[in-house]
Amino acid sequence: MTLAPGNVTELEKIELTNTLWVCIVWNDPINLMNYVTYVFMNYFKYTKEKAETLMLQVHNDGKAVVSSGTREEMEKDVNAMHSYGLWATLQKS
Amino acid sequence: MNQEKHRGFKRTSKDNIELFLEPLEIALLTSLIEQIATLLEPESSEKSKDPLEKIIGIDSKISRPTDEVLLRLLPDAYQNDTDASDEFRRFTERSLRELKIRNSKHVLQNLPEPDQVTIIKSKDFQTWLTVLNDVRLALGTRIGINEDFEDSDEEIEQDHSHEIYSWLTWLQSNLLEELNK
Repeated sequence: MTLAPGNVTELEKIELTNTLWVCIVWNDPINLMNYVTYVFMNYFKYTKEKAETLMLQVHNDGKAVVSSGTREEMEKDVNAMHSYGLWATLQKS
Repeated sequence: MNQEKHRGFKRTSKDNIELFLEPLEIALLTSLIEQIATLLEPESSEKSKDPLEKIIGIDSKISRPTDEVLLRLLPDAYQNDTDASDEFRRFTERSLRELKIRNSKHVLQNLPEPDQVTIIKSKDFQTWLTVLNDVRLALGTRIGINEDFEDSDEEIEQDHSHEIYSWLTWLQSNLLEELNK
Protein backbone atom coordinates (compact mmCIF):
# COMPACT_ATOMS: atom_id res chain seq x y z
CA MET A 1 0.00 0.00 0.00
CA THR A 2 1.29 3.41 -0.90
CA LEU A 3 0.30 6.55 0.89
CA ALA A 4 -1.17 9.30 -1.19
CA PRO A 5 0.75 12.60 -0.74
CA GLY A 6 -2.24 14.16 0.96
CA ASN A 7 -2.12 11.62 3.77
CA VAL A 8 1.48 12.30 4.65
CA THR A 9 0.61 15.64 6.16
CA GLU A 10 -1.95 13.94 8.39
CA LEU A 11 0.68 11.43 9.51
CA GLU A 12 3.17 14.19 10.13
CA LYS A 13 0.59 16.00 12.21
CA ILE A 14 0.02 12.90 14.33
CA GLU A 15 3.77 12.45 14.65
CA LEU A 16 4.17 16.06 15.79
CA THR A 17 1.40 15.73 18.36
CA ASN A 18 2.95 12.54 19.68
CA THR A 19 6.34 14.11 20.13
CA LEU A 20 5.31 17.37 21.78
CA TRP A 21 7.29 17.90 24.96
CA VAL A 22 6.73 20.37 27.77
CA CYS A 23 8.91 22.14 30.31
CA ILE A 24 7.39 22.16 33.79
CA VAL A 25 8.46 24.46 36.62
CA TRP A 26 7.73 23.15 40.12
CA ASN A 27 6.97 25.14 43.23
CA ASP A 28 9.64 25.37 45.86
CA PRO A 29 9.60 27.16 49.21
CA ILE A 30 12.73 29.22 48.62
CA ASN A 31 12.62 30.99 45.28
CA LEU A 32 11.05 34.45 45.55
CA MET A 33 7.83 35.02 43.61
CA ASN A 34 9.13 38.13 41.87
CA TYR A 35 12.35 36.30 41.01
CA VAL A 36 10.38 33.54 39.26
CA THR A 37 8.43 36.22 37.35
CA TYR A 38 11.72 37.90 36.41
CA VAL A 39 13.10 34.60 35.04
CA PHE A 40 9.99 33.93 32.93
CA MET A 41 10.13 37.45 31.48
CA ASN A 42 13.87 37.42 30.97
CA TYR A 43 14.37 33.96 29.48
CA PHE A 44 11.10 33.27 27.66
CA LYS A 45 10.52 36.97 26.84
CA TYR A 46 6.98 36.62 28.18
CA THR A 47 4.98 39.74 29.03
CA LYS A 48 4.82 40.71 32.68
CA GLU A 49 1.18 39.63 32.74
CA LYS A 50 1.89 36.15 31.33
CA ALA A 51 4.95 35.69 33.51
CA GLU A 52 2.98 36.59 36.64
CA THR A 53 0.11 34.27 35.69
CA LEU A 54 2.55 31.37 35.26
CA MET A 55 4.37 32.23 38.48
CA LEU A 56 1.06 32.23 40.39
CA GLN A 57 0.13 28.91 38.79
CA VAL A 58 3.43 27.44 40.01
CA HIS A 59 2.84 28.92 43.46
CA ASN A 60 -0.82 27.89 43.82
CA ASP A 61 -0.99 24.61 41.89
CA GLY A 62 2.51 23.39 42.66
CA LYS A 63 3.61 23.41 39.04
CA ALA A 64 3.03 24.98 35.62
CA VAL A 65 3.83 24.17 32.02
CA VAL A 66 5.98 27.10 30.99
CA SER A 67 6.94 26.10 27.44
CA SER A 68 6.41 23.37 24.86
CA GLY A 69 8.21 22.11 21.76
CA THR A 70 10.58 19.39 20.65
CA ARG A 71 12.46 17.32 23.19
CA GLU A 72 15.69 19.15 22.31
CA GLU A 73 14.05 22.53 22.82
CA MET A 74 12.65 21.47 26.18
CA GLU A 75 16.03 20.13 27.29
CA LYS A 76 17.46 23.54 26.49
CA ASP A 77 14.70 25.28 28.50
CA VAL A 78 15.10 22.93 31.48
CA ASN A 79 18.84 23.48 31.45
CA ALA A 80 18.26 27.25 31.40
CA MET A 81 15.77 27.03 34.28
CA HIS A 82 18.37 25.07 36.27
CA SER A 83 20.96 27.76 35.55
CA TYR A 84 18.54 30.27 37.13
CA GLY A 85 17.98 27.97 40.09
CA LEU A 86 14.39 27.07 39.23
CA TRP A 87 13.25 23.50 39.73
CA ALA A 88 12.23 22.31 36.25
CA THR A 89 11.67 19.01 34.45
CA LEU A 90 10.63 17.99 30.94
CA GLN A 91 8.18 15.35 29.85
CA LYS A 92 6.03 14.29 26.93
CA SER A 93 2.91 16.38 26.63
CA MET B 1 30.31 66.04 51.96
CA ASN B 2 29.69 63.40 54.54
CA GLN B 3 26.59 61.86 53.08
CA GLU B 4 25.56 58.51 54.50
CA LYS B 5 25.84 55.75 51.91
CA HIS B 6 22.77 53.81 50.87
CA ARG B 7 23.06 50.24 52.12
CA GLY B 8 22.29 47.62 49.46
CA PHE B 9 21.67 47.96 45.74
CA LYS B 10 20.61 51.27 44.22
CA ARG B 11 19.95 51.98 40.57
CA THR B 12 21.74 55.15 39.53
CA SER B 13 21.08 55.00 35.77
CA LYS B 14 19.69 52.71 33.09
CA ASP B 15 22.98 50.84 32.87
CA ASN B 16 24.26 51.07 36.42
CA ILE B 17 23.34 49.71 39.82
CA GLU B 18 25.50 50.63 42.78
CA LEU B 19 26.15 48.36 45.74
CA PHE B 20 27.29 49.37 49.18
CA LEU B 21 27.57 46.92 52.08
CA GLU B 22 28.86 46.94 55.62
CA PRO B 23 32.23 45.19 56.09
CA LEU B 24 30.56 42.32 57.95
CA GLU B 25 28.09 41.86 55.10
CA ILE B 26 30.90 41.78 52.54
CA ALA B 27 32.74 39.15 54.58
CA LEU B 28 29.59 37.09 54.94
CA LEU B 29 28.73 37.21 51.25
CA THR B 30 32.32 36.35 50.32
CA SER B 31 32.28 33.32 52.58
CA LEU B 32 28.88 32.09 51.35
CA ILE B 33 29.74 32.46 47.65
CA GLU B 34 33.13 30.78 48.14
CA GLN B 35 31.41 27.83 49.78
CA ILE B 36 29.01 27.47 46.85
CA ALA B 37 31.84 27.66 44.31
CA THR B 38 33.76 24.96 46.20
CA LEU B 39 30.69 22.76 46.48
CA LEU B 40 30.11 23.05 42.74
CA GLU B 41 33.65 22.00 41.74
CA PRO B 42 33.28 18.89 39.56
CA GLU B 43 33.94 15.75 41.55
CA SER B 44 35.78 13.62 39.01
CA SER B 45 39.48 14.42 38.82
CA GLU B 46 40.84 16.07 35.71
CA LYS B 47 43.48 13.37 35.28
CA SER B 48 41.00 10.62 34.63
CA LYS B 49 39.11 12.69 32.10
CA ASP B 50 38.85 11.66 28.51
CA PRO B 51 40.26 14.68 26.60
CA LEU B 52 37.53 14.41 23.99
CA GLU B 53 34.81 14.37 26.65
CA LYS B 54 36.38 17.43 28.19
CA ILE B 55 36.37 19.29 24.89
CA ILE B 56 32.74 18.58 24.16
CA GLY B 57 31.73 19.12 27.78
CA ILE B 58 30.17 15.74 28.54
CA ASP B 59 31.09 13.61 31.51
CA SER B 60 30.48 9.87 31.44
CA LYS B 61 31.30 9.48 35.14
CA ILE B 62 28.77 11.94 36.51
CA SER B 63 26.22 10.57 38.94
CA ARG B 64 23.27 12.11 40.76
CA PRO B 65 24.51 14.27 43.68
CA THR B 66 23.91 12.77 47.11
CA ASP B 67 24.23 16.12 48.88
CA GLU B 68 20.81 17.79 49.17
CA VAL B 69 22.17 21.28 48.42
CA LEU B 70 24.04 20.12 45.34
CA LEU B 71 20.96 18.24 44.17
CA ARG B 72 18.89 21.42 44.56
CA LEU B 73 21.41 23.43 42.50
CA LEU B 74 21.72 20.62 39.92
CA PRO B 75 18.27 18.99 39.92
CA ASP B 76 16.98 16.01 37.95
CA ALA B 77 15.65 16.98 34.52
CA TYR B 78 13.09 14.17 34.41
CA GLN B 79 10.60 13.24 37.07
CA ASN B 80 10.50 9.51 37.82
CA ASP B 81 12.96 8.63 35.06
CA THR B 82 16.39 8.02 36.54
CA ASP B 83 17.97 6.82 33.30
CA ALA B 84 16.89 9.88 31.33
CA SER B 85 17.93 12.19 34.19
CA ASP B 86 21.36 10.57 34.39
CA GLU B 87 21.77 10.83 30.64
CA PHE B 88 20.84 14.53 30.80
CA ARG B 89 23.42 15.04 33.56
CA ARG B 90 26.18 13.47 31.50
CA PHE B 91 25.65 16.08 28.81
CA THR B 92 24.80 19.18 30.83
CA GLU B 93 25.96 19.01 34.43
CA ARG B 94 29.60 19.85 33.90
CA SER B 95 28.83 23.01 31.94
CA LEU B 96 26.12 24.00 34.43
CA ARG B 97 28.58 23.64 37.31
CA GLU B 98 31.16 25.62 35.37
CA LEU B 99 28.67 28.38 34.58
CA LYS B 100 27.65 28.70 38.23
CA ILE B 101 31.30 28.70 39.36
CA ARG B 102 32.19 31.33 36.74
CA ASN B 103 29.29 33.52 37.88
CA SER B 104 30.27 33.08 41.54
CA LYS B 105 33.85 34.12 40.81
CA HIS B 106 32.67 37.16 38.87
CA VAL B 107 30.64 38.37 41.86
CA LEU B 108 33.47 37.57 44.30
CA GLN B 109 35.89 39.62 42.22
CA ASN B 110 33.49 42.55 42.03
CA LEU B 111 32.19 42.74 45.59
CA PRO B 112 32.70 46.20 47.06
CA GLU B 113 35.69 46.91 49.27
CA PRO B 114 34.79 48.08 52.79
CA ASP B 115 33.60 51.70 52.70
CA GLN B 116 33.55 51.64 48.91
CA VAL B 117 30.70 51.50 46.44
CA THR B 118 30.87 49.03 43.57
CA ILE B 119 29.17 49.79 40.26
CA ILE B 120 27.41 46.90 38.51
CA LYS B 121 26.90 47.25 34.74
CA SER B 122 23.69 46.09 33.06
CA LYS B 123 25.43 43.17 31.32
CA ASP B 124 26.22 41.77 34.77
CA PHE B 125 22.83 42.34 36.46
CA GLN B 126 21.67 38.79 35.78
CA THR B 127 24.92 37.25 37.01
CA TRP B 128 24.57 39.03 40.35
CA LEU B 129 20.91 38.07 40.65
CA THR B 130 21.46 34.37 39.91
CA VAL B 131 24.47 34.12 42.23
CA LEU B 132 22.45 35.65 45.08
CA ASN B 133 19.68 33.20 44.24
CA ASP B 134 22.05 30.22 44.28
CA VAL B 135 23.44 31.27 47.65
CA ARG B 136 19.93 31.67 49.06
CA LEU B 137 18.81 28.34 47.58
CA ALA B 138 21.83 26.59 49.07
CA LEU B 139 21.43 28.06 52.56
CA GLY B 140 17.64 27.66 52.51
CA THR B 141 17.95 23.99 51.52
CA ARG B 142 20.63 23.35 54.15
CA ILE B 143 18.55 24.81 56.98
CA GLY B 144 15.35 23.14 55.76
CA ILE B 145 13.24 26.14 54.77
CA ASN B 146 9.68 25.04 54.00
CA GLU B 147 6.38 26.63 53.03
CA ASP B 148 5.63 27.54 56.64
CA PHE B 149 8.68 29.74 57.04
CA GLU B 150 7.86 33.43 57.41
CA ASP B 151 10.60 36.03 57.72
CA SER B 152 8.34 38.14 59.86
CA ASP B 153 7.33 35.37 62.25
CA GLU B 154 8.52 36.69 65.57
CA GLU B 155 7.30 33.71 67.53
CA ILE B 156 9.95 31.50 66.03
CA GLU B 157 13.22 32.31 67.65
CA GLN B 158 15.58 32.64 64.74
CA ASP B 159 19.03 31.16 64.95
CA HIS B 160 22.02 32.68 63.21
CA SER B 161 21.59 30.81 59.94
CA HIS B 162 17.94 31.85 59.70
CA GLU B 163 18.99 35.46 60.26
CA ILE B 164 21.50 35.15 57.42
CA TYR B 165 18.78 33.62 55.23
CA SER B 166 16.45 36.54 55.97
CA TRP B 167 19.24 38.96 55.19
CA LEU B 168 19.82 37.23 51.81
CA THR B 169 16.08 37.49 51.13
CA TRP B 170 16.29 41.23 51.80
CA LEU B 171 19.35 41.62 49.57
CA GLN B 172 17.89 39.68 46.64
CA SER B 173 14.52 41.47 46.93
CA ASN B 174 16.39 44.75 47.00
CA LEU B 175 18.20 43.90 43.73
CA LEU B 176 14.94 42.76 42.09
CA GLU B 177 13.27 46.05 43.06
CA GLU B 178 16.10 48.08 41.59
CA LEU B 179 16.07 45.96 38.40
CA ASN B 180 12.38 46.75 37.95
CA LYS B 181 12.99 50.50 38.21
